[in-house]
Amino acid sequence: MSSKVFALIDCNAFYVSCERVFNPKLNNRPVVALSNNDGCIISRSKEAKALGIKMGVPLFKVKDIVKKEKVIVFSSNYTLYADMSRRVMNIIANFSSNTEVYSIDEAFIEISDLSVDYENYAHQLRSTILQHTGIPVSIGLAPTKTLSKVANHKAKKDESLNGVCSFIGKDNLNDILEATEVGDIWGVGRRLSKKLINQGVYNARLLKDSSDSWVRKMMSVNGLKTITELRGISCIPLEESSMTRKSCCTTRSFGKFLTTLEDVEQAVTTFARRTTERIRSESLAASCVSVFVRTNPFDKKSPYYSNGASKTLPYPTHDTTLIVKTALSLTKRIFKKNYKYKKAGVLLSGFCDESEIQETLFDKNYNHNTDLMSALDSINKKYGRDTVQLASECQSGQWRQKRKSLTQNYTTQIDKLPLV
Amino acid sequence: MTHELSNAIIRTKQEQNLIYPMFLTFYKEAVECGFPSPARDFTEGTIDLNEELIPRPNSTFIVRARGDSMIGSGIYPGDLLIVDRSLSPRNGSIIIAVLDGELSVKGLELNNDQVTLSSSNPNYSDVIVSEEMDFTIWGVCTNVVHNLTSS
Repeated sequence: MSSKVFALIDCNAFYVSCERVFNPKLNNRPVVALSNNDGCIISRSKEAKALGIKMGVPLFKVKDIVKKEKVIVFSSNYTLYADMSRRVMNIIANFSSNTEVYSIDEAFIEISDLSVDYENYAHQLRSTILQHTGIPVSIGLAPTKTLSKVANHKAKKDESLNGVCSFIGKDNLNDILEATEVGDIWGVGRRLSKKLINQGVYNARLLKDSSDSWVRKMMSVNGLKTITELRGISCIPLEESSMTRKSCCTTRSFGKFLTTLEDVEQAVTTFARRTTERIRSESLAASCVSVFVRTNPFDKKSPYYSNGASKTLPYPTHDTTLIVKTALSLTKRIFKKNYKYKKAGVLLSGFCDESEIQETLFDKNYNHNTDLMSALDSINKKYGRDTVQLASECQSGQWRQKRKSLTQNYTTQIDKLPLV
Repeated sequence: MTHELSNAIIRTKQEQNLIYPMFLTFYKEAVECGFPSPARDFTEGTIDLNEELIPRPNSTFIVRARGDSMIGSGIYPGDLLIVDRSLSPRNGSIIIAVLDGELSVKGLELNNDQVTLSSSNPNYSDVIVSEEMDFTIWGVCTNVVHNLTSS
């Protein structure tokens, strides 16, 4: 059996690295980036990790360290990160045609058919990405996707490896797997890892050596795939074509509590419009609209309320005005007075290809405004998102997020370019 | 043609948008006014300035010049610089240098083992790069976009 070669390319502290490209002063200093609404720390430089700042921790819990050690804190600048991600992913795609973009900062490639020195190839890819974009990456090479994740982890931890760790041609990975906690294995979530640890299976080697029948009982079919891959036999292929999405969703926490129906409606309108724009850009039409609202579950002083509602449309559509109208009628249904709303979301589902949109003969209200929509999209593409909005969004922006320490869109806005 | 091109740059700038290409139709023949153009059959496609100025978009960034230290090289305050990080800097390249954490545009002079960062304005002195300096090259400048109508 010819064995396969996978590489996982993962950007190091991606959000922080993006900020550093345009602000080299941040090099060698502790830097963190925050999640939406400046809540939790979701990207940490090496120096910040060394201070003991954990991934996902809320900012307020580490504010003493941040102050004492002069940690530099950024709000997430997703426009910048998306542009830098696009560049990195394009460079990877130029290296290998078998690419699976796994997340904003990770991609798998399969290079089994290339007759090259794989490690050398990975070093070349790494230095190209670094030179062309300024983003440092780590690369793990292995005969399976699951093992390439483990290799990547090692490449990140062990600085002597210069960012590339290869398991190719290594028969015995027992030591490395023993040093890999079960919760760090790709596909083993928090809940499952607790269950496994309770049974005494606390590292990857123990899991690999467990019997198939036991694993099937504990972890279902996906678990069998995981242990097969840990044994070096590839059974999770690259997912090259992005699978047709099942749903598309925009949810956000508000910058401050909203209490009136008008304010919540404004937020929902924007979420609905943005979600619809996204499905239009993928040539999809939705047949179901869902809306949810909730108050802050951590606020013990105020009563908690959470509710959602969905409506199936008579015909699939991607017309913003129709979807917003539906979303607003759902919002009216679930909105209750005297609560402090903290979060809302709009989810579209039941997708079909836009070519399947039926023009309706009898319902005059049901025209899909195709021309209007494409005009809207091209204006917003040209002049920046949210340039043209629906009147119901108004612009008071009560719901808009906290982004206190936001950097500028260095790469995508002509009046925000870096100065030299 | 030159006139049309500079117009395009200015208009693009006014629209605060360099990201999306602006297509100009290039007619080989002069166009008559008043009746349907006889040149219509002679159009030769379009000029895409992105394609001309940014052949490698993945490694190309646009930055804005401030200060007048590079006036001798035709770089004025407010000009846009197109920077390609994939190019190898050579003696005489105009580069974006990182000096002590600051991005700055400089001329690169390589003389044996000595690296000098030069300005092209006599009011500024050159910087001789020493071992202890925190210096890296961020990218190589390929083009400058200068607006001829601004005062």
